[in-house]
Amino acid sequence: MLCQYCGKNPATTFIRTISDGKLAQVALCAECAQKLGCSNFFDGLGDSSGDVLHELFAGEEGRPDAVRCECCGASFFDIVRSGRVGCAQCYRTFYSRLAPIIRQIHGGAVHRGKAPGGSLPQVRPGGRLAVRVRRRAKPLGGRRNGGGTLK
Amino acid sequence: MKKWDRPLGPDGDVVLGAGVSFARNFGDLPFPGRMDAADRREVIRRVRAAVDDEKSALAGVFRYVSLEDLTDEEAVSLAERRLADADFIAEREGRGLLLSGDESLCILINGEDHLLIRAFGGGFSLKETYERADTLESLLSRTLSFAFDRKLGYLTPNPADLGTGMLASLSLHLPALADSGALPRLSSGLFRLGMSLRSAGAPAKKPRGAVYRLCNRMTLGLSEREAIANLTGIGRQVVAQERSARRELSGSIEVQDTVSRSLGLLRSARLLKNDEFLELISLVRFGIAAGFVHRLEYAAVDRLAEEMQPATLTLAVGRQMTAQERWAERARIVRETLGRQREPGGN
Ligand SMILES: [Zn+2]
Ligand SMILES: [Zn+2]
Repeated sequence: MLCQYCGKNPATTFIRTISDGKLAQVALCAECAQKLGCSNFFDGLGDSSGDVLHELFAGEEGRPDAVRCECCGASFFDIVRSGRVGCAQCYRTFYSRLAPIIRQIHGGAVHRGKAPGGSLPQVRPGGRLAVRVRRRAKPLGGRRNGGGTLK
Repeated sequence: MKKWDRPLGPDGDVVLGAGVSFARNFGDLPFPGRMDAADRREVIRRVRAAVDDEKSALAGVFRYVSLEDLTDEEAVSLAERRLADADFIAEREGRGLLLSGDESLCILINGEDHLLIRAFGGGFSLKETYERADTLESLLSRTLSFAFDRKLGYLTPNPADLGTGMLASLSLHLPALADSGALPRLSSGLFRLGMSLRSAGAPAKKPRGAVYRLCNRMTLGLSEREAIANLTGIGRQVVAQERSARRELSGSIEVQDTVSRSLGLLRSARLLKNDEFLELISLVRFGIAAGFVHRLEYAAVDRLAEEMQPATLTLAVGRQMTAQERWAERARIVRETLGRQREPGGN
C-alpha cells in the first residue's frame, strides 16, 4: 500500500482520522509520518517491524532477569515496541537507554519552562504566572536539529 | 464565552482560532498505555475531585462526560468540534473529559496522557489562550501532583512531549496559499524551524476547506512563553503571506466569478455533500475577506462549517438519517442561513 499523502513511498504508519462522520485511517510512509508529527521515535532503533525488534531484544526478553520497571512492569522492549514510555519511573529505570533517544529528539536540551508549584510563585487570580527556570545546564552534546530526525 | 461569540479580532480573515494544550501525568501510576481499569478509575477520581473541590476556583466550571456513555455520533462530534482528536475517541474505555460550559476549556482524561489540559480562543488570541491554559494547569497542580524531572521537565509517555508538554496551535484558513502550491515548501521550511503546518483534518495535500494548523514542535529547552512568542512570530508571517497571495487572486474576474457561483450554489442547492460544502464555504469565506461577499459575517460561516459536519449535524437533527437525508438537511440549513443574509434585491 502506498502512502496516502505523497503517493510515492510504501505506507508504514497508520493514523486515525475522522472522515465523513466516521473514524477512519490514513496510511503514511515513514517520511510523511515524520513530517506530520505522527512517527514513533523509537523506529530508529531498528526496522519498525516487530520481527527485527524481537531479534534485537531476543536474548533479553526471554531471560527471567530481564529488567522490568518496578512501577509499571514494562521492559525496554515494551517501550520500543509501543513507542511509549510505560510510566514516570521508567525514565529512571531505563535512563541510560532512553537518554540517546531523548537526545536525538530534543538535541540535548534541558527543561527551561514551568515547574510544579512548591517554591515557585502560585498563580494569582489574574492568572499571570511568570515561571521560568533559568538554569541552563551544559548541553549533553548535539544541538537540536529541527527535532524529530534521528540522524 | 460561547464559541461563536469569541471575537475573531483583526486577523479573523485568516486566523480561525488558537489552542493551547498541556500534557500532564501522575508519577505514581502507569501511563495510560499500561493502565488497568482500576488505574483508569483512579485517574478519573483524582481529576474530578480536583475540579469538584468546593474550595477550588474550578468548582462548578466543568461538567464530566464519560466516553463510555457516548454514542458513535456524540464521540465523533467531539472530534469534529476539535475538542478531542480521533485517537482519543477511538478507544473509549476508561476515558472521559471535563468540559466548561462555553467549551473554551477542557481536560481530556486517560488519552495518551493522564491529562490533556486545553484552552481554546478565537482569532489570533494565542497569548491569552496560553494564559488561560496555564492558569487552569496551575489551579489543577494545587491539588494534583504531576510527574516532573528537573532536566526533562514534565514526564510524558511520548518522549517528544518532554519538557513543557505544551502544544500550541493556530487554526488558519489558507485558500490562496493552498491554491498557489506554495504550502509544501513553506511547510518544510517551518519544520526546520521547529513548527509544523499541516491540514487540520485528515492529512491531505489539498484539504477541502483549506483549514490548516500551525503548531510548535519544540517542548524541551524552550520556555512556554518563548514557544508562544516563536509561534506568534511565525504565525504573523504566514498570515502576511496568505494575505499577499489573496491580493493577487482577488483582482481576477474569474476568481470573483468562482466565489459568487459558490455562494449561489450554497443558497440554492437541495443536496450538499460534506466535501462539496466545505469547498464552497471556504470560497465564500475568502470572498468575505476579499470584499466580494457582503452582509455575511465570518462567525456565521465558521459556525456553519462546524455545525454542518456529518456527526455534529446528525446530533443536532436528533435522529439517524441516510446519507441523502443528511445532504438534504445540510442543504436546507445552509440555504436558510445564507438566504437570510441575502442582499435586498437578491441576485
Ligand atoms: Zn509519504
Ligand atoms: Zn515504568
